[in-house]
Amino acid sequence: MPESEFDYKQLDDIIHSRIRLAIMSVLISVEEADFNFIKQNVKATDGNLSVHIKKIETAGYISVEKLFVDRKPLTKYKLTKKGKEAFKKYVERLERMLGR
Amino acid sequence: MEEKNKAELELEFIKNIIKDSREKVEDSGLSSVIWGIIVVIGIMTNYFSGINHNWNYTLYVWGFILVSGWTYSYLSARNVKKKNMPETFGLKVQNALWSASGITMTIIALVCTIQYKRDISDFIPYPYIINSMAITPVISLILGISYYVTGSINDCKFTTRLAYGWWIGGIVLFYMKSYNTFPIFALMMILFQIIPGIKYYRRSKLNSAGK
Repeated sequence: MPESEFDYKQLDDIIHSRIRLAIMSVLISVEEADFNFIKQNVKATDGNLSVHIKKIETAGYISVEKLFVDRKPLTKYKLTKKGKEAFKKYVERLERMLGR
Repeated sequence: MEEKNKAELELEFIKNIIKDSREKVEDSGLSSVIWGIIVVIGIMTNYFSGINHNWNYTLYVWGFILVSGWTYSYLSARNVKKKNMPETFGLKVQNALWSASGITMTIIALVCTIQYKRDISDFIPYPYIINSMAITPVISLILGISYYVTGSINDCKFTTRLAYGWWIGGIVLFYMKSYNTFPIFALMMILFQIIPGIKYYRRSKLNSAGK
């Protein structure tokens, strides 16, 4: 296998970060999730998580819905079509690196 | 080589996160245990009513336990909604499947039990559209479908195998013509629903404790 296939620069920069990859993985496993559910699974602080979510949102990989449930604010996150495709490509690229 | 290891670790990381998130939204198995106990109580009431030729209180028992069961299911669904727990597509299908089969089984249990009462009292001439003895085999077949689909959605061979238990048991029950169908069905309920439900519940508790 040529050396270039192991080049990490080929990977999507938006997803290629531990926390952002974890956020994307959580959202691929469920239809939509609120901030607390993501936090619980990603194990990050509120501030750190918010920064990374914003980055993914800016890239158009997730959509954000703000609503009120029992008069309490609730923010729900969902992967967009673009996000799902980016995640799929990312995993495929990793698998290709492993020659699968 | 180092890059290859990194890629391997990354894939493993993704796999673990997805597995953990899914486990957190999985059904705990508690509803299987509760509904299993409810059915065992109801079906054994039918058995004792049959052998004692006294169906006076059977419908009241069924009415009470079914209302309790559906109240539990309603409260449990409301609790999940309140917690804003996310849902997977598979879980949505699974919930819809069990609600639909639960309603079907409730109707069958009630209609057939009413018919038993009428058989004894001779209020309405026999036969009816559904034979009274079909109560347990028909419910077994419905449970077979529900377990098979649930096992397939969750990619769980153990759950799929439980479906075969229900179907085979259903065939046996179709050929029985005595009140013994009831305790046999109750035993099937314990083996194929309550015990696996306890197993799922314990696993779900371990998962939520992060073990």
